[in-house]
Amino acid sequence: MSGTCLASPSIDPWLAHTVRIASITDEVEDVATYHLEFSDPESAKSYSFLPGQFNMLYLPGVGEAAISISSDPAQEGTLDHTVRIAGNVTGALARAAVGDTFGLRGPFGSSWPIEACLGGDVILVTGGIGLAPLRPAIYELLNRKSEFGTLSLLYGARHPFGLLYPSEYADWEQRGMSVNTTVDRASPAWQGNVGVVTQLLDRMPLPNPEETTVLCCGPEVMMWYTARSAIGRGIPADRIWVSLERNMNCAIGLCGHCQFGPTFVCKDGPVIRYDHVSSFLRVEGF
Amino acid sequence: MVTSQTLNSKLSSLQFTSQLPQTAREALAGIASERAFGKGEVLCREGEGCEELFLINKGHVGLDMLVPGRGQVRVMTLGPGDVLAWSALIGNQGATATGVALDDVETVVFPDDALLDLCQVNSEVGYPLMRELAKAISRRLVASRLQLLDLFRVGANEDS
Amino acid sequence: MNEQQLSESEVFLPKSELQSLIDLLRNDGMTVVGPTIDQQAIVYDEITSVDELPRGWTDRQEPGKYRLEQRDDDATFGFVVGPHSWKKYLFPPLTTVSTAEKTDQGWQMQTPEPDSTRYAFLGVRACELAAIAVQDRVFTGGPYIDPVYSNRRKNAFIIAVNCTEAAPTCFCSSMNTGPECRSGFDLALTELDDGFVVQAGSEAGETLIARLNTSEITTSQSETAGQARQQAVDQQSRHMNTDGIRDLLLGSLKHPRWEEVGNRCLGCTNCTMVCPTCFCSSVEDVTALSGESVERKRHWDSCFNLSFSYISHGTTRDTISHRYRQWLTHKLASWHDQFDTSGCVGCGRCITWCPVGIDLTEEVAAIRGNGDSSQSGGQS
Ligand SMILES: Cc1cc2nc3c(=O)[nH]c(=O)nc-3n(C[C@H](O)[C@H](O)[C@H](O)COP(=O)(O)OP(=O)(O)OC[C@H]3O[C@@H](n4cnc5c(N)ncnc54)[C@H](O)[C@@H]3O)c2cc1C
Ligand code: SF4
Ligand code: SF4
Repeated sequence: MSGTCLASPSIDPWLAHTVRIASITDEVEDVATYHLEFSDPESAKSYSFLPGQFNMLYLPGVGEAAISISSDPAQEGTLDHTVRIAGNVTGALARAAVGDTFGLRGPFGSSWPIEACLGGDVILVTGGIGLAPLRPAIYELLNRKSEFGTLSLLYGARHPFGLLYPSEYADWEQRGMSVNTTVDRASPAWQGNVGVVTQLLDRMPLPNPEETTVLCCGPEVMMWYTARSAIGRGIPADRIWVSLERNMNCAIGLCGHCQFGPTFVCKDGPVIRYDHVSSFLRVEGF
Repeated sequence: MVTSQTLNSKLSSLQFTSQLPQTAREALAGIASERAFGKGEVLCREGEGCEELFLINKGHVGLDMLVPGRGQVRVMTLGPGDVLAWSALIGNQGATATGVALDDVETVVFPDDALLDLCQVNSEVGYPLMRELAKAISRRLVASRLQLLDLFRVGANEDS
Repeated sequence: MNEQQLSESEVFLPKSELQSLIDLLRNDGMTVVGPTIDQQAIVYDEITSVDELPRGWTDRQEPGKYRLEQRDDDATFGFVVGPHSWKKYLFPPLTTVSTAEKTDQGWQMQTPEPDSTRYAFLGVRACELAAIAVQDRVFTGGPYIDPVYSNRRKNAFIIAVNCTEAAPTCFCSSMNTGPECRSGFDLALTELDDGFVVQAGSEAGETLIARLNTSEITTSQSETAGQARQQAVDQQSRHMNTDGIRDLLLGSLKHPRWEEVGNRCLGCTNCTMVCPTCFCSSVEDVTALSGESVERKRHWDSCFNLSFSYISHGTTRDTISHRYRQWLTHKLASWHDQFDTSGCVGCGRCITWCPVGIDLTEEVAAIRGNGDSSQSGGQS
């Protein structure tokens, strides 16, 4: 259905590995990145993931939360998760300290279709915390820059101080990705673009729309308008990829929570080709 | 004629005019001129009359509205391919926002009078042009709505 | 166990020998589960004696109604299906999927000891065999295998019973799952007045037959059994048209009928609890008082619960009509994409146990009829 799903069927898919918080980076308000390492060197060695995949972070006594991996898949020894406080588990995580241990199951789900982007232009459209699941894809695209056409990131946030990873933009630019940010609400000091991220796409020149791939992660309405705008500009629907979010409980397709029509967001998604889900995206309460 | 020709090719590369029939673009090039603005220069001012329609060819224009107590608030940024100051064209009194150049801005400028005349006498120009304008306004409207939805707002009890 | 190599040979087991069957299974270390009467319903529970079976009882079912009645004969299996299904043993309503202990090296997670019970299910109907096959696909057919289910499943010994009657709520013929048991069992019984025609469906079944006091089957016994099975076919009055049902339902997501059924449905979750294929669950942590020892407990959940589709910025399926639509479109449509089978086996439980008598066959007919359809129900 979507990018290769490498999550290997381990013996017991319910069993979590023990991980330790190696360090914590405060990102923006209510968002921090947790750099994790496995307690067991064997688990560390056998663990690998693809950009766009997620883990279930398990805080014993509190519960589990689905969190995308936000680090570079090529970089060994670190496994980053950028987490926004949203409730019990994410709140408990925010109170955790360096050295604390908890559980991790994964990686789960489909990945961004890097191979399908080969040779063409790639546009990443995202907003808010949605940059976190795309960051591994950014690293991979940049690591293999010569295999793609132009790379552009269109990134929106509510406020200028809601933009994630600002210290990395210069590096991304320098390595060949154009980084275009925009905010919904400008502060007086903000010199950048004001307006929704879809506008950046609306006005972007698209020299080869048929060979352009869009990777999109954000609220469903935003993804839908992004796809609409992209299709309106001649990008084929089967070159648009979105990352879906539904209640997630087991992450292994056994609990039923994350269904979106025929799709189990946990194992068929979260990254799905737009034309596979477009007919369901604007159905209320589906 | 030289200017008209370069203008014509510019118009065919801009999203707003690229969809128009060639003849319409030629007619438009006939009444248009080019104008550049330096950073900080104002293209149109909120509440004041503005007798030209701008089509941005390069650079960015901030749209600011005056909010008592908050001063000038930037509501949107326009970029290449966007139109500016269409209010006058459809009969509104004065500009609805102040447009200020944020970097080196190049525009193609159409005097409202000439543009309206052209549209009136030549429906081959007028109709497609108004359609493109309606599309541009509709895009702007959708963008404003999405902005209004405040999609990246986090948590229900966050203010502003 | 049940490898479905159907043996053609049938034997006759006198009624008096049914207890021996139970005893043999128990002697082999199995826990025998069969139908029994509890709180005025036929439910599945552990049994040790034939006296616990609902001999001489039958069930009367219609939308929203269920009651037991004395039969005028002594039939042991003279009823159809009740509120329970075998999923309560294979996919237990409450189970521990993992544990966590706080140690000097931090939290350590462990897999709980697998349950070593070996179940023998006595009285599994054709629709229930089909339901087990459906759950096999759900829990063991994908990239992740549920250890709890697969462990219990691989140990289970299945004694099927052919239905000889149908309730007005049954529609297994429409779903092509019954009423005759065709595969997926170790033994299959057809009840006659004085005994059972027994067929083996696996090697384990054949071995067991060999240890029982059976006799060769007579032509007349074979014919009577065939007629009894045919009676269950003939009695079936409820139907569901499944032609193109996946596209029909997924293409009708905005049909007004969802709103209408949403107004009747109470969102009580009964239909999902009684359905033998519904598999939704939630895992939650249960912490010992010390706070240093935690069990992750899985319990049955339902797409009819509001919290089921909760995400931090709002609930996805926030009205009952959205939830009913989710249930029905999943069961009858997306299930085909996900598991290459329908999620409904036509057992009729959800119709009987719905407190307001909502009947899925009627809902499908209404959507197919593309309009109001209080009359276009599923019964003919
Ligand atoms: C594939 C996927 C990737 C994600 N990646 C990230 C990420 O990189 N960073 C990040 O900050 N957040 C991410 N999320 C959202 C994150 O999973 C939720 O914010 C989190 O589950 C909230 O849990 P909680 O216990 O703090 O909140 P509570 O409100 O206490 O949640 C209770 C339960 O509801 C469910 N739930 C609540 N919100 C969500 C949600 N948004 N999505 C799915 N289930 C939910 C979970 O089962 C959770 O255990 C992702 C979600 C999905 C589905
Ligand atoms: S949906 Fe109803 S009739 Fe179908 S299998 Fe489930 S309970 Fe039985
Ligand atoms: S359909 Fe009936 S049984 Fe199912 S949730 Fe609604 S009221 Fe309850």
